[in-house]
Amino acid sequence: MLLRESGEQQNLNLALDSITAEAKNLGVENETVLLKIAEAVYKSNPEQMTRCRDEAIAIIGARATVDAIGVAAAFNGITKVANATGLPLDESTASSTQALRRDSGIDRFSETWKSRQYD
Amino acid sequence: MELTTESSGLPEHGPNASVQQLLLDLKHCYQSCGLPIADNVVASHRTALVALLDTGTWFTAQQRQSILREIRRAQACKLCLQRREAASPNWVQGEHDAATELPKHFVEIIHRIATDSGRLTQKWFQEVTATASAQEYIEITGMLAMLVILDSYAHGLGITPIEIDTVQFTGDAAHTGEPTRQSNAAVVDEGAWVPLMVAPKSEGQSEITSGLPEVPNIVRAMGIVPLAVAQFFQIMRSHYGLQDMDVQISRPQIELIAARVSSYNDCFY
Repeated sequence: MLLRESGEQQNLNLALDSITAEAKNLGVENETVLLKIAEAVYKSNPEQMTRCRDEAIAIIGARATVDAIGVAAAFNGITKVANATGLPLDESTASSTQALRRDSGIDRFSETWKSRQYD
Repeated sequence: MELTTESSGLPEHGPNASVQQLLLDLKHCYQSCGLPIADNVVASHRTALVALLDTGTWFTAQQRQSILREIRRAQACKLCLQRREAASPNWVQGEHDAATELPKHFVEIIHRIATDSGRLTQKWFQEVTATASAQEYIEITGMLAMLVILDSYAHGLGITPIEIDTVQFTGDAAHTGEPTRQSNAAVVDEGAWVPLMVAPKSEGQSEITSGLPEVPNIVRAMGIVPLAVAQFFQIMRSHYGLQDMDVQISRPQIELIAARVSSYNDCFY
């Protein structure tokens, strides 16, 4: 949801309905290599990570690569807190992102959907 | 009880000799990997390691070390792998490949959150907290999230995660003390599986935010164990913040990575 806000602040027309999909162009600078970092950190495959890190350093530089890895690592952790506590959206976010959640498929991560699917 | 994410709120004491060696190992690993790691990240990771191996609010230092070992073992657990491959994790029954003598319900909590948090449901939560307290559940969750950050970061940099199994406690107060088992009473039921930390309401900067809590739910989620909140956000802040981040990627780039990793984790929040 914060991607939407930061895009608006920088006058970027981001294709946010593609955030949960693979190989779509969202409109963020160097998004291909950044999404590779996100995937490699999440999947924790050493060979994939090495290739991705080398590619990222060549394109965005070492410091930006480390920063990107840091963000990915942080969200790999904090999502465990949100998932494990059945955390509802903040009220302001819930009311302002209904269409985005529906169009992007984020609603399938909701407690209601998961209970129906897995219980 | 006042909770803030601006100060760590962590106990002020020095780590014992063995933990001190661990911290030196961490610093050496980060320095020798050849990548420009910010000083504040190194410092926060050292603080996090000390905190993880300290006595907690609900677990002793030894129990917390067992929890950390179990978190890492979960990645190699056959039952967890079978559940990951099943259409529903609840269809697969069996025994976890435990690394410790922790009670089975703790092992179930640790392994499921570590390997398949995106498919947890309230029904599962209610089952596991029939035998574990919500406070114990939260302390485990906070520790797990911290270790995931440390290990994901190490993996991302191409270095071996710091070995925690071999740490021997040498009898200082931080590692022999008893958990206080003090609950935070300033919590409220607002639709999460656990009570959320009470948060001040906004003064009304806009029609949308007027009367809503100023603190986002994610900060309030572990509010029944304030130490878990303080320890987790101590490390989280060094990687991500809504303002004043000293990084060389833009805000949209940061949020793109955050959104995609959240999506991989099936995270609704």
